[in-house]
Amino acid sequence: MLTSVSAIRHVPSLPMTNDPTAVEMVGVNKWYGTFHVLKNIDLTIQRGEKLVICGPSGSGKSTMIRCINRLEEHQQGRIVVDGIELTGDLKKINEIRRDVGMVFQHFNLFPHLTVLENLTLAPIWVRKMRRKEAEQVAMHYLDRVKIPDQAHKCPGQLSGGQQQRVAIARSLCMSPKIMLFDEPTSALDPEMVKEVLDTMVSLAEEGMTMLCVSHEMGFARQVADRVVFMDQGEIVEINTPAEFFSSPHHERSKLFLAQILH
Amino acid sequence: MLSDAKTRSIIIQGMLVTAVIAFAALLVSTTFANLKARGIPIGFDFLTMPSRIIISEAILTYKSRDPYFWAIVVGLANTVFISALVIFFSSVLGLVVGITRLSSNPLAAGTCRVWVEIARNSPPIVLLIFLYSLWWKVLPPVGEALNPLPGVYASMRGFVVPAISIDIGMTGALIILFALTLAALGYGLARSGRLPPLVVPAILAAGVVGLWLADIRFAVDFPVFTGSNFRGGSELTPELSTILVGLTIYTTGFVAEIVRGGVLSVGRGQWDAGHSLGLSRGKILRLVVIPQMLRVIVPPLNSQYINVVKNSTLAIAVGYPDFLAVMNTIISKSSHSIEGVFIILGAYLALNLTLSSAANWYNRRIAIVER
Repeated sequence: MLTSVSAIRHVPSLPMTNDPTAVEMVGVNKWYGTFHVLKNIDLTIQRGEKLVICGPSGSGKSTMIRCINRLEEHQQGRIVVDGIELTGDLKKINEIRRDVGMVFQHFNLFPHLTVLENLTLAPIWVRKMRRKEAEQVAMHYLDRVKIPDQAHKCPGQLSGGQQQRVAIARSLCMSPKIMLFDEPTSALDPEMVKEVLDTMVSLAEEGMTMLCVSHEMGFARQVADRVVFMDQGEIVEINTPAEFFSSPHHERSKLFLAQILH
Repeated sequence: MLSDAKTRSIIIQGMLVTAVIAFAALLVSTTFANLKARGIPIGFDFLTMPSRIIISEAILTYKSRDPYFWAIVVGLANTVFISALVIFFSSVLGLVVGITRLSSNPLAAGTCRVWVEIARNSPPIVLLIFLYSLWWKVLPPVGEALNPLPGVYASMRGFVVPAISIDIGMTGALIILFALTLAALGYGLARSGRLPPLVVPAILAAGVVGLWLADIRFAVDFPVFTGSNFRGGSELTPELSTILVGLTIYTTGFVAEIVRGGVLSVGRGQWDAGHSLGLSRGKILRLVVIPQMLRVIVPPLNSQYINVVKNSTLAIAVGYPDFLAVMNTIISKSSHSIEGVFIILGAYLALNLTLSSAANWYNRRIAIVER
């Protein structure tokens, strides 16, 4: 599979439940003031697909995935998530956010709540779940990320790796259809990276649609269907991980790989 | 031996303490000697003597033949009353104004900004005198009193509001106390999860039955205009209204800024996390931001509350008899100025230390656990 940007074909997506497209971005542009952060982004992600997005800092990777759940607003183009187009309509935005989970670089757990309360907050207040039921769901996911014994601690008492796993579990409690990872291992001590990546790998194996901004090459090789390389707000190359890491097509990709692999 | 750090610090501190005690002793003995030489009596005996001073309004009952100590208590009650109301209203308004200042609606944010700037940049006494002068310029005479809300009248003579009276017998009060204790106990046990589920409703039912047995008579007394004045209701004189409204406007400005700082101190990541989970802005504010903000704002808020107590002495500018005003009268009437000043200092110190310790207790209770 050797896809370059121009070769991607866009099939207009219809709001159907069995629509195979999870996310579709067409001609997306975004500016911060006069700074052009995203330039003509075209990207289609199928259900169950795993995408790893990499690129130098400031290339717009985070901004792009933050556009998908409208943490950032795009100014031009079309973003369709799970059959719903993102516009100013708050109701639709909330509908999308309920189904799109996100994991952040700095975890962003709620420090004043216990781990269990962090996990049950959204199910109770957004999904209107009963507390008991929400706690059962939460314990199930804490079990999955292998820290059920920490349920009644506060986030501040956990290690970085544990906190990030709690953050993943918190997103999973909303049973999302798509998961966004924004450099989930960049703020971790090296010895904790593996436990978080293992969690992500097991999630990928279950067929979750995932978009990961990450520079973890091992992870990308293991789970990614495609690697997206971005530079200066553009998608420069989309390739399979095997090809991207061994023989990248674009000069800028080569330069970037040379820098991160030394 | 003198080069030993511990010994040296003990010697230095010992010398300091001795010096301070000696200085204080000198001051006290000189004062006593001077007062004796001029034949001025000193001591707290005067407190039990009838005061014969007039206190124009008080929330406790007071007659001029009551002793001095009762006059002091009445003045203190007035100060506590003003401070408590101002603290309550400025906290509520400050929360609203502070959060609205961060709103994306320019009109709402701008209005709140104007409020904050006016409140923060004008001397409180000017604000009070200005407001006080408005009573006669803006409000109509009592016969044409404004009626903005049912039961609330505003005129030159001040505000008249409905009075609420709750009447319970002694037995009733005891039953309620008992029921409330039971309910609190049950709630606590239920939260810790050590209780079979039916116990809580049972205790609540017991509480309700207790309340019913207690035979509470609850009455709202609406003011009625009788042709020359209002009968019934509670009257808020222009003096009391001015000090309440003025200090509330003033303090709200500061509380709002503290709240705004508090909201901004909660990182953007918390908003991102909340949004990504599908929580609305209002829910993020209520469930995530405000609980974290409270921890940040309690210490500066406590300073503001202490300022309210101290600023309540400005009541003297509009003629409301607060603690300081009453003490002033007592001092000039009884000529026990030194004792009077000590009582004043002691009372404000006690009030403010109480506030501080309450704030510290609250702060410890809600502190975020880290490691």
